[in-house]
Amino acid sequence: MTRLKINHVTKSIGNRNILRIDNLRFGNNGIYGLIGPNGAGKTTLLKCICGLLVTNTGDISIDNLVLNRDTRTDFLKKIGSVFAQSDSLFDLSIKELLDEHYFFFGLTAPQKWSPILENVGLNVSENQMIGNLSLGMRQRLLLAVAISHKPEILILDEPFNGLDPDGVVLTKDLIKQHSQDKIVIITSHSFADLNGIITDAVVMADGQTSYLKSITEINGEFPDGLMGFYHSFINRTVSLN
Amino acid sequence: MEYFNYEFSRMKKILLPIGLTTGGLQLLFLSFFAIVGKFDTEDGNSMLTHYNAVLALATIGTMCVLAIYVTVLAGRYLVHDYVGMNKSKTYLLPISRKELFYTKTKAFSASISLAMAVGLLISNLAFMIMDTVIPLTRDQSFTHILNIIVSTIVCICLTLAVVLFSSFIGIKLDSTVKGIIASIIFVVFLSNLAAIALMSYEFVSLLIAVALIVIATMICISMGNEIDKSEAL
Repeated sequence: MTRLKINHVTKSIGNRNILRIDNLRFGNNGIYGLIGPNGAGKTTLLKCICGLLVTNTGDISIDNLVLNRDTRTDFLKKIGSVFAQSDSLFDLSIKELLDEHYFFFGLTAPQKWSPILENVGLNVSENQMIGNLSLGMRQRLLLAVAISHKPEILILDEPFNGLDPDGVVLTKDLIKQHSQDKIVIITSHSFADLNGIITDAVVMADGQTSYLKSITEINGEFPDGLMGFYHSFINRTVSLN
Repeated sequence: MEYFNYEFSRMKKILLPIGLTTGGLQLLFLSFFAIVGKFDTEDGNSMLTHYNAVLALATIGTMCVLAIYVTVLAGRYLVHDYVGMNKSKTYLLPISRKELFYTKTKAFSASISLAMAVGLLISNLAFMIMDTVIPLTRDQSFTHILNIIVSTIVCICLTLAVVLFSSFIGIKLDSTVKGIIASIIFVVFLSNLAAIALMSYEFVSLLIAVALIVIATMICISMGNEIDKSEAL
């Protein structure tokens, strides 16, 4: 079973301390909600897991593979991710993006991309430019790309941004399907989006994380569920700076 | 090699526009300078009546325009992947960042060199035939095959050096636009010097052009190491 471990990780940018995480383990398959206010360090943590940011101290590992410059390539093969959309996508066609992803992940490209697109509810030509798609359609496309290589860990930073209600339902179904034997880590500002989908949650505030708790534990411990867990942690967090 | 082939295949679509632009510009400049020389009756020893001078000026003119045009293309095919938020997409690919950067740079350089070489050789050949049928220069151009080969190599090396230096500046300063501005500045500085050198000291200019490529390669290696260590904020 894949285990993602984050041990004694700190990260600072300039003179500002951004992260201080003592111990965080994502042990079993499931959907882990990473919740916290704006600027809590959620995206920074996810970027550290993907090797986009280098931690100052501590280590991040998947099973026994510790993330560093030498292992980064192997680490990335195990991860699928959706981050904020970059404008480098806009000049590409859907086909070019999928071709590139399949090539670098060593996958055999199918003869037609339409089944992959239809899987995320996209009924568009593979030759269409990504820049001509709506925000929600691009978000669906990025999800299709992120899950295409069946990653052991799926990291989704605000995946519901720009999605219409049908898109939210479809994305949730896809995430549920994928989480049956994989780890999914998901951030969202909307508890409504997370409720009913996440199996566990961890709150993040001022670069620090709470204990990871299952939704059953949270509902048993806090009368107002996820909201109560969230407020109890952020109210007692002391700033790192 | 597999990665190179992949990147090269993505850049195939720029081969024809660069080849046509190179050929068109070179033919235009060759004809222009030769016609100016032909009608320059005030001075019987006009520089522009000699094929070598016409070839040198035309080659440098082509180099100047191409250096800026190709830097714009480099902004889209190379620099763009390494600036701003686009870095995240590039760095998330499961391949050594350094290797990917070198592969992209090599594929881009190979595409440019190939398109330019074909464009320059065809246009020079076309002018040579034209010059034989309707003599525009005093000395017949078909006797200058070596000059054509040297000027082609110089033109490719100088263009590539300007494009690579400008692209590296763009990546370093996190902006495609700054890379294009750098290419304009390089062209302004280089154009006169290169024209004089190519007219008077052909082999020295060849050596300088090759030396610039060596320097660009060294900077590319250092840039790759920097990219490997960098972060995508």
